[in-house]
Amino acid sequence: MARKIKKLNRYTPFDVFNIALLAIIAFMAFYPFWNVLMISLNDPTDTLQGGITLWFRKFTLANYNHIFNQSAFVRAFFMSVARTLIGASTSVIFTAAFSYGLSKKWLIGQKLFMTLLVITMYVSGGLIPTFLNIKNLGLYQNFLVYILPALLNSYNVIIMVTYFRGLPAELEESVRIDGGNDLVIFFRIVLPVSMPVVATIALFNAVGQWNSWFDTMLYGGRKLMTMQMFLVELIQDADQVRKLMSSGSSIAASLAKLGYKPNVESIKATAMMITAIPIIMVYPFLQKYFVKGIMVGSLKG
Amino acid sequence: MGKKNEMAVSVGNSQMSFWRRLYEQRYMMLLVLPGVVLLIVFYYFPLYGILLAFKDYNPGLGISGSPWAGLKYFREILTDVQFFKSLRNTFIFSFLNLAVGFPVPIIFALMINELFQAKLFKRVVQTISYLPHFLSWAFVASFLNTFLSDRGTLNPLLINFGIIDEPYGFLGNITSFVFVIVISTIWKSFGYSSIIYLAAMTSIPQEMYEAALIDGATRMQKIRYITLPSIRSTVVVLLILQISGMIHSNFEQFYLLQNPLVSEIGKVLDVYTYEVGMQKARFSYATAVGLFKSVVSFALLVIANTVSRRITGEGIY
Repeated sequence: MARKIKKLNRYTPFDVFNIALLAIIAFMAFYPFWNVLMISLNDPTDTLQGGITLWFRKFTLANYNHIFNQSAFVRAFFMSVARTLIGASTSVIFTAAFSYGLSKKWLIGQKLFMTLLVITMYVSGGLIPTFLNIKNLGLYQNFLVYILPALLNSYNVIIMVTYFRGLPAELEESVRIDGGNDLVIFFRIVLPVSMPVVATIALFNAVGQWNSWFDTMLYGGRKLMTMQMFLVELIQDADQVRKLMSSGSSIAASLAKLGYKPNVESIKATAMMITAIPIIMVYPFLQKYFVKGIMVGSLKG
Repeated sequence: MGKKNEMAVSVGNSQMSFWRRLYEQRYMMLLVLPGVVLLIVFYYFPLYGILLAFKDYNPGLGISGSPWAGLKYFREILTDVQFFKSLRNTFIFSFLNLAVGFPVPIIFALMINELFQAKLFKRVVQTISYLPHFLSWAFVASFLNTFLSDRGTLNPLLINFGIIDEPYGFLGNITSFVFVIVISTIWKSFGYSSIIYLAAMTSIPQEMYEAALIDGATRMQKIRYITLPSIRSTVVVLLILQISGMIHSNFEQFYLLQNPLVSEIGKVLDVYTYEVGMQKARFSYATAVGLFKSVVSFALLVIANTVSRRITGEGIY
């Protein structure tokens, strides 16, 4: 009945006001991304005049062409891609294996392992003890510093444990009766039917890896430069920008012949877009699991 | 087959000997043990490092070999002017984020929840509102640097409209810096934080609204008397959590946005700890400051929970 009444008087002034306000909010949430996209697609010399707000004035892809011809940037780009792919795929396997064990109440030590896990949500060593630990483990300036500490994350484990506990018991029983051991069950039965949660955790980890730069600053150094750290340096270090603008590569030379003169703003905007575009393509697919994840996160305290 | 079946069922049988059970669970243990090792190495080893706060750290001797210093570093904290300044800054921003930022996702969730038509529009707005959460602070800080610079987007716009005469340094002025921090915090988190409120709102039974409609309740009355009371416990839990986190700031945000012109207000405790620990290499002192932070955070949690139990009867433990 309520539905009928609503249908009769659609769009009250309240609704119109609400929709208008939400449209403004959505615009403001999206604007930074849009603004940077437009600057990155605009001719750099033209950009210097300022005032690129909603649309580019002189379209060009030269900024992208230029930045992908800078060896320093390309190296950072592939470092980011490497840590994202390797980090996300290994961490989801470790998380799933650990969670699958924890989901079985009959496992010896299950309670102890669970307690060990939950404690890590509440207490941590802090900046310096963590730093020294990484150094003592020999992970300083080692690519594995991106991978190993990120393999397990208590929130992800709890999401997965909850998921595994919801799987029907018959699924595993039939294989166990046929003589399959727990490894077979896990890899052949449980993982394939858990693809939704596996994909979600993998994507969450991928976003985390892609966006991370503090670990690069602390442990990575120049050798393990990633794109996010590259961006951080562009903010903080003007020399870095100058180096990028004057480069001797052949493509840069031919771009210059066409009247292309790179500048700080355009290079920054282009680098920013290259960090943001993969995110914007991936995050909408994570939505289904937001609620679950955030619920677990808020229970943590 | 019968025997195996029996074995599978009796895995949890406590009458079986411990070793027999362990042997039967060996493959499962193989799945779990790497995780246990990771937990110990990456979460519990650093806990041991907290001892540094009570020692005079000597890199050559390691954590266990360094001589004890007692409470020397905690006494130093009490006389450290810089420390108290950054403590004050931390709380200024936390209070502002609490007072200004906390209600925003609730209001946004209410607005979304009140959209009964325009389903596609609703989905699009929600999806867009989550985007800022997924962009890195490196992106946000770069954007703000560009957007607020003299020849960026905002200054020319304001000059065109005659609001200002010459470019204004938004990031270099204490008042506007505070605005930038508070607004960028809200911008980045409002959509994502609204999810949990929306989840609470969608679990409110429809019959309550229908009954209210029959009683002639207006839209605002329904929000006031049904929606808001129904999400109260969610609000309380999140409020307690935010209060317990007041001693922490978002390191990435402050580290990237602060500059010498605003360090008087922009240097928060997390940035100070980083400077003392990593840039000046005073490991023991930085660990002591970190430990102080954890203790305060825990105390805030207990206080917030107790007060909330007294006033609303609800808490998180």
